Amino acid sequence: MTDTPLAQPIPAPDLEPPDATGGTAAAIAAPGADPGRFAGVSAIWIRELRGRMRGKRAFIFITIYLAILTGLFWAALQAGREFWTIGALESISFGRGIFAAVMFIETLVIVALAPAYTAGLISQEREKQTFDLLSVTPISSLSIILGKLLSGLSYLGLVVGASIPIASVAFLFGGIDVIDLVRGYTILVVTGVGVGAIGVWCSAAMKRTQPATVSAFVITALLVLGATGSWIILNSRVAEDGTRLPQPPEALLYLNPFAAMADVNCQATGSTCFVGDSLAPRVPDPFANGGLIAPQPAGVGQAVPLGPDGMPVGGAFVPGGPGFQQPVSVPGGGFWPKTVITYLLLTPLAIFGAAQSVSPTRRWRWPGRSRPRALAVEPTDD
Amino acid sequence: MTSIVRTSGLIKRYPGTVAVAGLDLDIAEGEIFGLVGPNGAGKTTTLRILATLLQPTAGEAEIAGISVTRNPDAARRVLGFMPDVFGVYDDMKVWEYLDFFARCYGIPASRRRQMIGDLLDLVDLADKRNSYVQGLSRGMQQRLCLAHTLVHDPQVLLLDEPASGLDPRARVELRELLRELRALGKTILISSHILPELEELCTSVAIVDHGRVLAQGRVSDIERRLRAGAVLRVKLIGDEPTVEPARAWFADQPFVASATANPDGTIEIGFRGDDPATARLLAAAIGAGLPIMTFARAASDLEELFLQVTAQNTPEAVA
Repeated sequence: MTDTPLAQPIPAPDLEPPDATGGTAAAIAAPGADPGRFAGVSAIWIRELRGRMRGKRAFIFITIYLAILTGLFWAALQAGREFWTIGALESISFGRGIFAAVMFIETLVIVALAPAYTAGLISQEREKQTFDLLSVTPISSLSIILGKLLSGLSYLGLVVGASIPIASVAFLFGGIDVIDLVRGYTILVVTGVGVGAIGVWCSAAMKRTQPATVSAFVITALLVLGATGSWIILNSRVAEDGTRLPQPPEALLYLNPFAAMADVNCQATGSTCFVGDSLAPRVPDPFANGGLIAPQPAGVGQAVPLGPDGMPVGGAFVPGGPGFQQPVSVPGGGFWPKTVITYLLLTPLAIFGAAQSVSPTRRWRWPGRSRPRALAVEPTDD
Repeated sequence: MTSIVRTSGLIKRYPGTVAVAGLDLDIAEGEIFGLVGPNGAGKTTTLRILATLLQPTAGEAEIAGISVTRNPDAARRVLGFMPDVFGVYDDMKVWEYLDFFARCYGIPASRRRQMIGDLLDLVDLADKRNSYVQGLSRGMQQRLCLAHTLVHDPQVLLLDEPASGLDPRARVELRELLRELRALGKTILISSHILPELEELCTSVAIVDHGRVLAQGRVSDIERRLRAGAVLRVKLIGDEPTVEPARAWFADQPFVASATANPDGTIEIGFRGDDPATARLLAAAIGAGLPIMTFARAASDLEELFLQVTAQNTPEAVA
């Protein structure tokens, strides 16, 4: 800096002592207490819910969603009226089918809506130019992310939670235990939080909402469907000599909540399952579920027709038909916990990434390293 | 007087440009300090660094003795920041807006209600308590944003162009509000390029250009320094032919650096003398028979000071 006579600071004028005890001064003196590490979470959560739940829109959406779900349920009931007079076993199968259908729809809702609800949470603050005001509060970046994620998922939770009574109607027909319901909703919750965390990450990493939303959907689709598609493609490979190549890693399917939900439903039946350690050779017993096969990803668990040489050749599934591999009895329930664990591992990673992206001055630093590296740069004359 | 805001060798570089180039500020407690400068001078960047929203490339900045770079969390507790362009949560009511920020600062629920009422009284929005923020006028939103900076009773307020976009009445109200805040013990750092307002409001100013402080202190003190290089404006009675001889006469006088005839018939004199020398020049001009109608110092307000200071410190001049 070039020193000029004018650049020398002039002593500040003597000011009158501030009226710190004056009427309004004393009244508004509300020095901020330490809000705690996660106190900002509730502040952001409440603010978001006040905005989101105000007006009719939120409730109209829930009403329409429940009406559609109820309509589907009613249609299923009408279609299955015959079971009511057949007997207990058929009724149980019908109850399981209802449960599986509701869980499938709920999973679809979660996977479709979680990115939509979360991908704009941070980027919209930037677009509306409110993020600076939030950034100068003492709320930590982690609290901002958690508060936003919680608020984004709260409404989704309300949507899904409102459907519990409908899913619970399956209890009237039997075949479903409370623990099955708990398992199903556990998958829904961890999937929603995981996919939502991905959405918040995209929102924090990008300045605009539109690319953030597109990115969130693309990443979710790649994780949920892309990995499963890769598994199916890899699994269909056949070597030049006609022998089947080794199966792709089962882990590719862990992020597919539909497969996990199918496993839960399979576990509820207590019969054979189509997801597990060895997927392709195993086929579901369609009659083990009263003729209602639980929802399953395309290609997973489908019957494997065998040619004269005993090798799979493809073709339609004909239960008990010649040349088909017999179902292998694999107890259900071994797969869905892996999905839950995978999402539980993915979620903190996405939250950490979002917290790192939320603001350049709010990045986590290693303990004891309080001075950012950039500050080590020595000033130079420009 | 205790220094409450201090920057030392503050530098902020962006690719291809230097927004702040070694800025030094020293602001005493209780001041209303104006940061004056043209667009691109580095005012907003400086305020955003002080508000912990930007990391400086180099240098140090402190508020109330707390480093904004090393301890931003603590610094956020002693400062309130109002950006030049800000949005509002349009789906909230006025009291909810303040309640949200009070929660962010950990104000207990037992004190929030009273505090919100007091703040709304202070910014004259008590009757808008249950109105939606989006329904407020620009001036009201500005005052509400100012109120939000006060929820945690900060020692220092950083206000970036707070009067921009306001009508004259709203500006007067804002000015009165800032004076009231000063009376409440707040130190206010305010950036603006609406210089007449700062002149009335500020106890001290820093004139900033190209990321550097060119002058700092009370307006009167800066003006006193500049008097050695003041501009005198002289108007003569009579027709245009009298102007040129008079200009030539002034150009030959002691301490006169330049004398220029303006199209409007006035003569602008670059004068390096002090007050007695100015008086002697006037007496000599009258003694020489020049028909002087007005004889005045041009640099009499902040705007003139600003123009003089920045003109003396253009990049070419600095180089």
